[in-house]
Amino acid sequence: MSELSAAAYVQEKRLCIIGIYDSAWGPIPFSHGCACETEDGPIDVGMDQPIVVTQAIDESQKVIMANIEREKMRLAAEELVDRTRAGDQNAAATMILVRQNAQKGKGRAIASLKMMLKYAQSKDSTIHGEASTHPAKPNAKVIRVLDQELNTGTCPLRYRSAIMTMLPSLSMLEGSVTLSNGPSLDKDRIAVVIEKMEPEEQKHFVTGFKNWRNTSIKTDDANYRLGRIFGLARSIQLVRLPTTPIAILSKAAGLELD
Amino acid sequence: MPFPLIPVGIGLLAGVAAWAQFGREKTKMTPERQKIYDAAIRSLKDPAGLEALGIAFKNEGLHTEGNLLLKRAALRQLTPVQKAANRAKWKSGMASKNPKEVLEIADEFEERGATGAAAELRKYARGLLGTPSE
Repeated sequence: MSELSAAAYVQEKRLCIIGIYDSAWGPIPFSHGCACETEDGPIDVGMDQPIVVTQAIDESQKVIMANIEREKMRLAAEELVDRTRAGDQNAAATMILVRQNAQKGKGRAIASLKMMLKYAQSKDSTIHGEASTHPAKPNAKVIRVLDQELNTGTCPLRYRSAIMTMLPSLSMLEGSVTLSNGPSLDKDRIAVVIEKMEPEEQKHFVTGFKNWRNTSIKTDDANYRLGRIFGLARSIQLVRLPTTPIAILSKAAGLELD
Repeated sequence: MPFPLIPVGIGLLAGVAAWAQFGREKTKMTPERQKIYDAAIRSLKDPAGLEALGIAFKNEGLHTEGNLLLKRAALRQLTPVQKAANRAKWKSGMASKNPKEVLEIADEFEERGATGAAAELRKYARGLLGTPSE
């Protein structure tokens, strides 16, 4: 069975191609149009055609294949996020690999990572003090993988990769508690996490870090959310110290126990 | 002369209704009482004040709220050594990686009237368990 089935026609000097690409992730519909100086009517893509039509078909084919390729990447990225959330460690490892390749500047990995993060964020609206819409299942296995990466904390690259790849798939509470049980979140460690960020991204992270309690700021910014996760995790670590007032984490608990 | 049964019946019913209404008012958490209770739970540190309010609430028939206020008063009256032990216990819960243990400590604090401390521990335990809700 052919992977690609298409129909083409010319109308008002424009070649229109519509079809379906049968991918491993399901059918991907496509359509494309471009200028074509020929008579109106159906075009049989497999048959010999005037040169203007052949050129238009070739030009369209490049654009269509690029679009299909991008759509396949998006579907694959979304599947990886879903599998990771469901506890698939191979998927989690693949995500880490993609992240590492993206950090090395590989274009395809960068694009794929952006798609993963966009999808992960669109499925995650968990904010401290608000209701969660994800994940559908407790992802203990994901936390285990994350723990393994985060508890090591000896290799900055791996640590950063784990943070950037795994935290978007966790709720704020899960992410913060997991981080709080890893290495100390001192200034040096946080510097490692944000060093590859753009200045604007760093600004959002720091704002989130300082305002982790604040639920009134409504934003989908991934770095702001990451900052809040780190802020809460840091407060949990601090409150464990014998002399730190409990109120730095919880005013209610502080009133009762400080 | 025969006893006027119907007027007596009406009077009795009215009395029961009034008593029932009075009873309901007495044990009802009115918006004003709720405001006072919430403010006391959120910010009142004075043990004598907490105790007086707790007794007042109990006298009004609001036993649950009154008892919690009295427990709060007792917490505030602990010696510095006892307070330090409580803090250390709570901090040990917040450092534990065992959600069951954390929840047990939370129950202890709840029992002692430290509902905020218990809530924070339970939240932390949810994070350990990977429960998706905040």
